[in-house]
Amino acid sequence: MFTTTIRLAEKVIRIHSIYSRIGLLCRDYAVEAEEVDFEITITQQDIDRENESLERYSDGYLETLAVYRKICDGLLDYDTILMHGSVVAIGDTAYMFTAPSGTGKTTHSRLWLENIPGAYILNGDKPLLHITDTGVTAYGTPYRGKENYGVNGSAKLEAICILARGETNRIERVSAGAVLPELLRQIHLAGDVRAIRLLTKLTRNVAFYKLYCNTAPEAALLSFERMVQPQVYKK
Amino acid sequence: MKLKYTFEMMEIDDEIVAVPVGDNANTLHGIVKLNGTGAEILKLIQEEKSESEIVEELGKKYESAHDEIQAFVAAFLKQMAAAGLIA
Repeated sequence: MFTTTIRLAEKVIRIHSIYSRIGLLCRDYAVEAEEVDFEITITQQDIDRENESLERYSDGYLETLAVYRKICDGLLDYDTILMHGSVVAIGDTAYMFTAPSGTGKTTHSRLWLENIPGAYILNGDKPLLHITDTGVTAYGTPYRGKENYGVNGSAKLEAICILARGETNRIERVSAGAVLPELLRQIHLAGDVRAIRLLTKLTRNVAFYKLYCNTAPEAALLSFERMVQPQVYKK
Repeated sequence: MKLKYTFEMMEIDDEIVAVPVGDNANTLHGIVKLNGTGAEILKLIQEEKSESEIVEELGKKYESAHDEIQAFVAAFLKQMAAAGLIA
């Protein structure tokens, strides 16, 4: 067994794994710590459960998925939830783009990098959101998607934007109720009552938008202009 | 009377939405939007109250005539059964 201790979303987690790959994946998050917030141990059964598709992945890779699944389950007790999406940030303020895989989250995030000075990608695939009564903080994680976009950092989440493809670029502010089905599809462990209670709190603390966009730079300029407060940009 | 699923109520934008949670949550591909009275009835069904018990509970709270409440509850339960939510 291998043991790795990481700090993720302000929590110290000890991971007991069968393979060493998780240590490599989490190297930017590794800490030396005796006291931990919680520990997880991976079994071969946990690894086998991750192999749902017909294509055979290595056990070392599947274990990294099993690790995140257990970590995310544990983090729900700390008001922190995994949501599938790409988080872009300017300074210490963040904006999340979410949509089914293949819609264009990464493409749109890359347009921000190319066209919005100071923008960076906090996490390109599986960020963590710490949700309180007074606000939401987005955290970078080792799980950055195949493009590996992300940093070990955090930022206050101001808005979540549901992305859809469109011939022309159009964005509208929407209510949480209007996009609730999409949100439920993108949060991890949506069948867990802790996740649903956090999602309720989330809807009271961020703004929601729906963006129909193509791959032109104007798409990023539009979403930036509508979602970001002018004073944040001036910083 | 028993629900086939366990629901957690979310209050979103002045609406109440019942979201399935628990072991079989992912077999229900949907959510249930309710008004205040509907949410109360759903809560009583989750407590495994019978139809007459639900009518009695609502009768304590609302001034409507017994027949009216009974008809309302019956219609609600019929909708829930048609949606496959009641065992």
